[in-house]
Amino acid sequence: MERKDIWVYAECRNGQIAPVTLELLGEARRLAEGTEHSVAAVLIGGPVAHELFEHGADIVYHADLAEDFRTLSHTRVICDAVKTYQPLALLFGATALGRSLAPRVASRLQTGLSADCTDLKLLPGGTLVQTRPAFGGNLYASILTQGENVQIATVRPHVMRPLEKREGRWSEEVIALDVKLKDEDLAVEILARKPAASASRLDEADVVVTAGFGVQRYGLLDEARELARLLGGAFAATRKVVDAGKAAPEEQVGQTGVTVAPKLYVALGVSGAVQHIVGMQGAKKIVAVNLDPNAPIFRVADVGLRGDLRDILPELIRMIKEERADGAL
Amino acid sequence: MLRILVCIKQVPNTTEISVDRETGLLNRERAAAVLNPFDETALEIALRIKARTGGDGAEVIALTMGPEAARAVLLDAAGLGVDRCVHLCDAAFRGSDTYATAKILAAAAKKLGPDLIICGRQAIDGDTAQVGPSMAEQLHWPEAAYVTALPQLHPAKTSMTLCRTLDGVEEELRVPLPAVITVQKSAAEPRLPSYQLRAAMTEKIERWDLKTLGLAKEDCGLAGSKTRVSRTFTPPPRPLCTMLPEGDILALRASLKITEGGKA
Repeated sequence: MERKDIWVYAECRNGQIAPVTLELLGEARRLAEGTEHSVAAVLIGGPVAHELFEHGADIVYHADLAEDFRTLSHTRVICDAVKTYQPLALLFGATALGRSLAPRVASRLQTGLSADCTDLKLLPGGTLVQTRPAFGGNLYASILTQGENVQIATVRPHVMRPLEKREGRWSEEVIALDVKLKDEDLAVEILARKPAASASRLDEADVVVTAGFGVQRYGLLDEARELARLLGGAFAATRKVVDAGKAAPEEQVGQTGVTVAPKLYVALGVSGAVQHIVGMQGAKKIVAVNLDPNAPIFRVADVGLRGDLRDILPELIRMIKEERADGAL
Repeated sequence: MLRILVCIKQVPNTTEISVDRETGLLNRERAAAVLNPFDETALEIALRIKARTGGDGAEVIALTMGPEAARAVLLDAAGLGVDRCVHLCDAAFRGSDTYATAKILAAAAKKLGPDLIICGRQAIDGDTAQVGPSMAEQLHWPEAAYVTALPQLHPAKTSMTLCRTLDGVEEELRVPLPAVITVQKSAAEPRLPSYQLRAAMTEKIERWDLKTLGLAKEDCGLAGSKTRVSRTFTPPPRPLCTMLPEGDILALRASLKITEGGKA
């Protein structure tokens, strides 16, 4: 069979399709534009979600597997499907789940894998150019899969744009996948599963407000959290603040924490160590407030304000609250 | 005896990496090489599992692949207290992508026969997080990535219970051994190194090459890789920062509005 489809692994969390899946369907649609390639989602478990079609899938390959995510069982289903239907490319979200599942799938299929791509291009002939940051975004590399096997990439959340919901008519083809699990696929036992304590997902937030040491020093962490809430965003912290026990490890942005690329990144009292910068320089807009005019954060920020957070932060919060109150009148 | 293999990597110290604003090139050469910070945690987890293991105890082996200079990270591991250090060093390994690297490490693991392999979540130079799971697949072992705490080894040493967080979902898993795990930085605070332990290992690092591993040249390096870098480039520098007048909190407020949508 000819390799034609561009596949997107449909990542589910608590029965919901992950936002990155819809972003990838949008990107797959753009890649397929003007070509003969179809866009397909691979969905394991659950009912077939209509939104997969609405956001760009022509086909949903569906495996009826009534159990929670396990790397090995999903690897089995995906690899069997790839062998049967021979897609051109397979995209995963570069979430923790995607980044642990994709290497397993690629290695079993003996094909290449590029991690955390931020740009994809499809050349005539079907070669997928996979571009990704390295060295914390100081360098970009374009990567090609060697050989004739399926081209696999994980793609960073929040970089690709989902399609507006499609209007009108389109085919909604569902192809049922054979599920033939082996005992070894069930070797890892899930004893418990629950939402993590810090519920907000940094890597999926549109707005991230980060507290650096400058916030901690003046005891303004609650204010920083409040600002995050007021802006409809997620609270984050630098490593120094996390190490001091003032924020959770899951809230740490930077090299040894989470990498974020929100629409707006607000750095409060963050000096801008390289290890921090590499975790946030993908943000579309960076606003920084710092006492030190020479702080390295101002070298990556789009908008900067030098000043004392003890004056600025409470006033800023007051201002936003006042606007809201006015707006409500 | 329980045998734990920890895969570690030498990486450039990113605090010293900078981009030359004039040329746009990376000043990589000036950066000193250090032990990947996630791997310190992996070593710590291994040593703590060993400390808790009764019966005939445990052996912790540090394994790295890299050029001559990479032996420095094995000495770092020795300073923390590992029992054995193995350095995979061969010109044929150069240029390996994650698939080829995992294949080489898996070949070394087969020779060493560990019950458990621990890796850091990812290396801070490549940031792929792929080698651990890929190695598990090539060994046909189960794996658990993103482990957040010290795993509890069951008395029979045939399985362990561990916790990990995947995208805001906490999981408690029972994983049969042998297995591969990758650990988050927060899983354990690394201990301080001992100079004596480090010095004692200097002459004892084992050095393995292609022949020792029984691999063919075509399995390794560029030839054994499933990906190829077609080009590299530095991103365009960000435009200069617009500094607001001091004390202009109103302007600061306005700068936060763009993405706020209907809320402002």
